[in-house]
Amino acid sequence: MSAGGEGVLDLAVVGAGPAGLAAAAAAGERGLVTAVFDESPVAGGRLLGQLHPVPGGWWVGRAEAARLVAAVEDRPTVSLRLGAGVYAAAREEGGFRLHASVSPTPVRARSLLVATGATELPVPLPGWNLPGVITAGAAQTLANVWGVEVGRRSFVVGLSPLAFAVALELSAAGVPPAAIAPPAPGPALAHLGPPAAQWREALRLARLGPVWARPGAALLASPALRRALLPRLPRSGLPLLGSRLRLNVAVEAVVGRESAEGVRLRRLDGDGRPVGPAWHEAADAVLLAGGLRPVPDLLRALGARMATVEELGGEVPVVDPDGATTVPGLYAAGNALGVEGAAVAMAQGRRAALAVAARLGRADGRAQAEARAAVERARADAPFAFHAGVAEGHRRIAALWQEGGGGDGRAV
Amino acid sequence: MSRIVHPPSYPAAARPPRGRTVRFWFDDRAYEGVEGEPLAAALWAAGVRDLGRTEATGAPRGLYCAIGHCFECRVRVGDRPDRRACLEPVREGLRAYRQAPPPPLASGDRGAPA
Ligand SMILES: Cc1cc2nc3c(=O)[nH]c(=O)nc-3n(C[C@H](O)[C@H](O)[C@H](O)COP(=O)(O)OP(=O)(O)OC[C@H]3O[C@@H](n4cnc5c(N)ncnc54)[C@H](O)[C@@H]3O)c2cc1C
Ligand code: FES
Repeated sequence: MSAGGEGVLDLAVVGAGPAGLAAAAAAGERGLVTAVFDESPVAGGRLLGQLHPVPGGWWVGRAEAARLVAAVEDRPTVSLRLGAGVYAAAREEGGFRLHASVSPTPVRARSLLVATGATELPVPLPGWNLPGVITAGAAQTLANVWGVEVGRRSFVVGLSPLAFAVALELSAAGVPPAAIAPPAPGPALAHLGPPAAQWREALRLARLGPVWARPGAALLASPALRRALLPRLPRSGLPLLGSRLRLNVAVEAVVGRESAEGVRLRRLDGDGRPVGPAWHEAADAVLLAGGLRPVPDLLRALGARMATVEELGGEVPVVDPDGATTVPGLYAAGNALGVEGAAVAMAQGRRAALAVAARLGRADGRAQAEARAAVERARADAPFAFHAGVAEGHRRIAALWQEGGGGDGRAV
Repeated sequence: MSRIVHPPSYPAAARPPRGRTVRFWFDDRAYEGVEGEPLAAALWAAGVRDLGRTEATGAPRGLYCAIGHCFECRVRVGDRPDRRACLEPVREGLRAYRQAPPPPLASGDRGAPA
């Protein structure tokens, strides 16, 4: 049976990001007949746009992705189907049936791995739907993946980890954003928390920032010092990553007629409340950085038991130590299990593939134990965490599984 | 707007591969793009922000997520409607169009007022 034929696959993987590609490579290594589907014409998922300095050079996601794709293409039992979005999936006798955008007939598989990654949370300010207003991740894709200049004077709104990652990347490319500032608080923005909570989030990352950011973070952690200091900072902010970090102003709206032309700003007091009159500044691109959440759709649709765990970024499946969900044969890996970096996603992908292989007698307990340990190691070595307490979040999922994960499809 | 000219310090492995320059059309105007890059990236590089109109109000819409999640970038490619411009690769001679807004939705379908 070939991976391209009409037979039943041992494993179907949805998503060719780091998790899905690493899973496919491991499945191929064990001889499993596997197909990986991605709706993008390019393999690599969010890995493609990632880039960060490491001691002695740069860690380049594009190069990691190329390495993973080569490992997949090396395996005769694995096929990579790009431009193939999986828009429906169902359970059937002995496995799953998938509908992909390019296949006239459904694809059948005994096991299914969902590796659909994460998506960005919205920052729905007035004017956010004007052309020229994009997510921070979209800027990462335009600039890092395609080499397209995002703007001459771009404005990042939001203090999520991705805001700083993108500022660093644009800066390395010689096109830093003009400014980074939080959004003004509003009823539609409750999911982001008030500015004071966003400051805390940003300050959690300060140890990665310039020298002034570390003592600065310690000072701002105290509300009394914050009230004294923030009003004294210049309205134009402090230099950061070739940009200006503006903690004491907030973006109230994006303005423009047919596309974004600028932002409307207000001063923030030391408690994060907008004060004083508004003013406008020019911006030819506005980058919304609301943060990330896992994409749960396929897992939920297939009846996996789900749980909402804040430390993991939102709704995730209840899984066993390999990423098996409560639906027999259905696995998850990568950011579908919680928002983390690509190294963790790869290790989770391999771990799930080996669990599938073990069920077919193609992997032993030792290989599985190594694959599980690799996930923990990658987590411990991560340069930063998208959400504080990720390890704790995974422990909560493990506890939910222990309590009786077998109950297929129940919400918690 | 344009293409990034990377400084020498930018890591070589991170530079986008240099593809062939191709010509394509958007609403009957010719543009140049790099073969294989998404239509939305080529249009952004050409300074085009407005990719269509929303059904709800007729207001302009453009690129938002750039990775296929939001469907804000829908355009017609040849005779295929609702193609996501952020996933559709540019190729020589491609013809894409802003979609004519369909008839307005019944008021109950519009969601919250803007
Ligand atoms: C916009 C964005 C930016 C990020 N930036 C960073 C960063 O700078 N640094 C960092 O450490 N982490 C970043 N992350 C976190 C990122 O999710 C992980 O680093 C890692 O890429 C997760 O790998 P994954 O394989 O789980 O998912 P992804 O890399 O997201 O891959 C998922 C793949 O699944 C495909 N897919 C989804 N649904 C379907 C479907 N129904 N049918 C077919 N294909 C589908 C997608 O096209 C995508 O290629 C970012 C995440 C997002 C969303
Ligand atoms: S910009 Fe979001 S789907 Fe294309």
